[in-house]
Amino acid sequence: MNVTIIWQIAGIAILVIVIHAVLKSAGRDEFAWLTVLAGLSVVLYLAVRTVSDLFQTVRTLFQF
Amino acid sequence: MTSIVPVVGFALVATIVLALLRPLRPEIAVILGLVAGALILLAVIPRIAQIVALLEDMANKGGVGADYLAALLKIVGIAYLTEFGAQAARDAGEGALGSKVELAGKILILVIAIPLVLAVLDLILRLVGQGVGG
Repeated sequence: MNVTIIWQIAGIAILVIVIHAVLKSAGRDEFAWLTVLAGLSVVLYLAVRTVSDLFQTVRTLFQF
Repeated sequence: MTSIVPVVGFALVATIVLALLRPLRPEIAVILGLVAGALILLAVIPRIAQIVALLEDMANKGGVGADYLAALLKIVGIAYLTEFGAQAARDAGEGALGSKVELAGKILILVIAIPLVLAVLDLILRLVGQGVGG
């Protein structure tokens, strides 16, 4: 059971929230939006790796 | 080793983080929920290998064809993955998409089950033919 990935995602989310708030208050709305997009991409990359791991396990176990 | 405690602890941690994240960044919360569900399944699914081994043993003893058992295992795998995908979609508020995933899973299971149904039908027809002939 790999809890580190949960902490990683939570940390990225907190980082994104803070940078988004700072940039938004500085009046740089477009950069704030880009920050959200970048954070989402990184989190999605982690998620896809985990889910593909799960799919591979199921596939080998049930002999697809 | 065979302990539910890590699973429950992991789920509690994930739930707390999700509850914090959901109002602030719902899209990251959805992905986090997906990852947490996948990790829980990943921790448990290798245990199913023992059950699969038991099923194979029983099939060998009972003289059941290996391809029938393979179809059965395939159906179970499709059911697990379908359930996972449908729950993930429903978790993100896309209930309709989840229902479609379930429908696709049902159709694929039916397609795999066709040879089994045909075998049962064949057996029944043979028995009926024997009854009439005898």
